[in-house]
Amino acid sequence: MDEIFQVVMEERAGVPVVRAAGEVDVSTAPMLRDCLAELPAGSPRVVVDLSDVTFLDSTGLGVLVAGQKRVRAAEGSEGASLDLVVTRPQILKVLEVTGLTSIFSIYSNLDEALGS
Amino acid sequence: MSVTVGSSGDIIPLGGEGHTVTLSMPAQPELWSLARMTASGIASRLDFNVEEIEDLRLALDELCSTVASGAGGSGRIELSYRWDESSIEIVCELTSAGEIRGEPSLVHAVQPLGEPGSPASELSVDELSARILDALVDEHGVEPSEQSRRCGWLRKRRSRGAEQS
Repeated sequence: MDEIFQVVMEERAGVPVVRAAGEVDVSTAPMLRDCLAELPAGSPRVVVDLSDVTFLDSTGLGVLVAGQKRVRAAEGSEGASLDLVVTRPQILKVLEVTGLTSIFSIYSNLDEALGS
Repeated sequence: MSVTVGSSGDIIPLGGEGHTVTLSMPAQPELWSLARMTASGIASRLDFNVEEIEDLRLALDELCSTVASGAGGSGRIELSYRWDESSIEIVCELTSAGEIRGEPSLVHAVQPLGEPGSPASELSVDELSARILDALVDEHGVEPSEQSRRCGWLRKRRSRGAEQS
């Protein structure tokens, strides 16, 4: 059932952008994790676009948290961050109820994220 | 791999007492979507609103993952969906081929999680899962494991607005 999830990485305005689509659950989260692991080392900023993600469970949240830690922990990455684009209320809700809105900058569209 | 579905009671119309649908499947995470789909279908027919259905789907996913943890992908999960006019209760029971290792964190989820104000970035996936269940359903729990068996449950009530519609 992997067809329910897709993830691609591209570069927009010099920023690595990971675009995910579909359901991120315990069976698909490893694909997102693997994609984040391929990000160029020392990227000062990464944007994960969740606009087309229709489902996000705790496993997916764990992958995003690990990605944030990795970006921030990279050598010479002071001020680095992994930011999110979230458009669907249910995805924003799960970030809110888990308290994770405090560790991510969240934008309502990709242009806004890239323009910040 | 086999997935079986059974039902008891008169499934149409929904809303009466004593209705149950059971779903039995291998304890493999890629099949949790079937569990979510079934919950969504029942909740939809009970006039749960879209937000409540999404809450239920996510909560059930967390429950399945919690109950199946420690089984190493072996064994079977049986889900029993029971409902009345205004609520759904889902019981998730794992029967493992071998002994289940460790206890799921949700056994303790009725207790406050961590220290107040603890950084969200330091929460484990299990703790995130417990927070999700606490927030999205009215009641939930997991019984302590019995060698090759573990059982968890959740209950979600429909909002007052839906009852009036």
